[in-house]
Amino acid sequence: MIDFELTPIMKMAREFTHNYARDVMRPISRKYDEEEHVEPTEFIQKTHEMFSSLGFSFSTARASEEAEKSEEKKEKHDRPKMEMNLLGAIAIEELAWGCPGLTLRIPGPGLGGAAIMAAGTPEQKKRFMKILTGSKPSYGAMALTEPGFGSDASAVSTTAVKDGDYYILNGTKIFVTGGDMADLYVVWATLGKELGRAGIRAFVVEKGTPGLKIARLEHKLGIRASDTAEIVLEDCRVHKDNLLGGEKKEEKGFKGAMQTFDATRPMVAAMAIGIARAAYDYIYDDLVIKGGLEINYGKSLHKRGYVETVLEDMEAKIDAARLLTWKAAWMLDHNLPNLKEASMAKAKAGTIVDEITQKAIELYGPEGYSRRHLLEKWMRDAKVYDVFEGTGQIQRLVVARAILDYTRKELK
Amino acid sequence: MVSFELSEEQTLLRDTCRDFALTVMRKHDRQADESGEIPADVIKQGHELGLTTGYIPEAYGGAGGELSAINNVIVLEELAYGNLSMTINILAPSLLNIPVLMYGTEEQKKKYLTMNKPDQFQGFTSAIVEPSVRFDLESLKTTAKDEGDDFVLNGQKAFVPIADSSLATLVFARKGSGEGLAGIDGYILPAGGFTITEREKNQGLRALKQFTISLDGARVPKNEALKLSGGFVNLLTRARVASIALVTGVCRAAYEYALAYAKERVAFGEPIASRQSIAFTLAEMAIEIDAMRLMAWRTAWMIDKGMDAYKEASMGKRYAADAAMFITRNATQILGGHGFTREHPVEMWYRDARVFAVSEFLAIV
Repeated sequence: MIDFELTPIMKMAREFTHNYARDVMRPISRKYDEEEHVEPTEFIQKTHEMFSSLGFSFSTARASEEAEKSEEKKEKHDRPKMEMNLLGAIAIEELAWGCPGLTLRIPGPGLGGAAIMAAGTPEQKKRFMKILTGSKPSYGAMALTEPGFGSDASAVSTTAVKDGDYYILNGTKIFVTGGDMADLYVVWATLGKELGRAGIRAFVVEKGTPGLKIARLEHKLGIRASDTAEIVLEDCRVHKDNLLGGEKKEEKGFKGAMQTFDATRPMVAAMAIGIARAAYDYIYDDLVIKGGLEINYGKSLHKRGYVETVLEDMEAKIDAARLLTWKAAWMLDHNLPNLKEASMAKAKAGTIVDEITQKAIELYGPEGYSRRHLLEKWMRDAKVYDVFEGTGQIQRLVVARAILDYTRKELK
Repeated sequence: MVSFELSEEQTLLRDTCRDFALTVMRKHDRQADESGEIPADVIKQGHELGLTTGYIPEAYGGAGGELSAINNVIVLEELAYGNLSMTINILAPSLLNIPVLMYGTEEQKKKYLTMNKPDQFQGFTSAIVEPSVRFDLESLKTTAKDEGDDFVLNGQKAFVPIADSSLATLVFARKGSGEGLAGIDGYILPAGGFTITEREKNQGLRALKQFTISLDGARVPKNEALKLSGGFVNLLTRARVASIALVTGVCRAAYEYALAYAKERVAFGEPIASRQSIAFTLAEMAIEIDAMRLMAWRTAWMIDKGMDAYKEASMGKRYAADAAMFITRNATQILGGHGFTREHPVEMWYRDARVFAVSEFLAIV
């Protein structure tokens, strides 16, 4: 039965995260944009405590629920107790509204955790999630991209060579979100180029493992509060128990990496929507609340002004992207294949966030270009949402293959 | 609790309508567009689906089902996926039935709702748009003057569907002069109660008989006035939601056709769909269609929950009408020169889709 009513816990989560974003994140948002690479230590600690004590940190709750679920027998039509992906999308939109860079700094399982949940054995999920959901702030990073490839994840050249009970990893990983502070890294490596995609596997490398080092931090256009690291693996020895999915389950390798995106793309889309809404709200406050402009929804176009229709267009785009995102998250919550829908949401949100943040500056005038206001920051932050977790082009490729029922070979 | 899943009943409803759209409506769509005539049998069969009588209470001879906006948007998308002109014709009785059901007096309900027959199409319609450049609902010009026992209607209406064959027409007018939506009420005129000026000749919707009519001081007894008490905006909301669903259906038709064509059509030794320029366009179309449908669902859900959905319906209609141009234009483009010919239906969907940005009350949920 089609329904758009949020559960009480979703409403509560939305209100809480919104207030947190407004009262805690917004006031320090500019500071950590200007001071790139300075760790927002107090924010990390405070946020961790806040979410832990409240007990509904979406990522933590999701991780523990998933771990619990994977131990139970899989029953058909078993409705999840809590719709963690939808809840997550709702909460993260609010946090990104506060500051997208700081949102990415919030401790939790992160992308590494998502990869573990997608590709790990029940034992591994339990073991690593314990680390990522403990009492200290912790973070799980995903190390997939290399200097030689971005979108084409099958081109992994980091090697994993078996040596007794261990694998020896060698290679360089870039664009590792939160790579400076991670407690564990999910590193994608190949067991042998000749094996193709089947040879690509993920290894959990814990912080402090000899041979793992942070080479440098990126200087970025936006989301500067979140550090992006280059890591180097030099004869880094990892125990075979850290090979996600175990040694035999070959099919979980590359597919596992891709499945991670089914869960993360709706979240990234939701963040993009949060940024778009931040920019929209900012100019709405100036033009409508303070400036007295009326948005005459439904009136004839010839009786309306340009600016009010631009505002309406922005709102409609945000609405469209959010509905797509909720649907993609909801599908995952209900164990429905959402590969296409996750990419649809990400493609749409990644596009509209650029459009809206750009236009908002124009409507604000010269002042919108000034770093006195956050508008210019949001436009910079926005750009990465059409890039990371798969570029807009990759999302369209995924959607196109799905609707055309084409293989990778049929649609390159 | 959020859900994007159709109930069993809704799935059945959707499948029934989809089947009718593909097996009946599509068989006649081009012929109907060229000739300006919808075969009577198509209307009869469409009527027998019970979509305009299902929600009429048993006391007035209907099936006694609930009036569900969400069920109606599911129906509208599927039927418009078949053919827009036929959909508007088949569902035209609701343009009178639903306002009467919502705002009519007991006497009006008895009189008009019972005139609907489940096994026989009886024409009913409503007249709202006026033949003025830059027509604007807020400044609706048709007036209803209070003259003792009657209201006297003056003005002209345009794009009135099936005005020539309707047993009753609900004319929207305002008392005296003025602006805004709040002062608009309905007035029910019998067949022959107004002059038909001419049949409309439109860019699209060519199969649908639409007319300009002249009211020429038509007298409407007071008991035939449908007093909306400011409720016009609710009807408008319901009509705009209907438009979002209709345009989603038209777009889906164009998208699916272009997609199938792109997989068949070979250029440079490969299906054109294997090129990103075509495939990405199709992906964009698919994304927009999903977004439009979700807007229709969400807004219909709001109506069923008793919420004020005027803003969402209006915003969604505008968004969808814009997206529809993108989708149908590109569907035509994907077929290249063939898309420009009348051998393929995409040019028809492109023309039909243009109506949504300009018209009102094509259907109601």
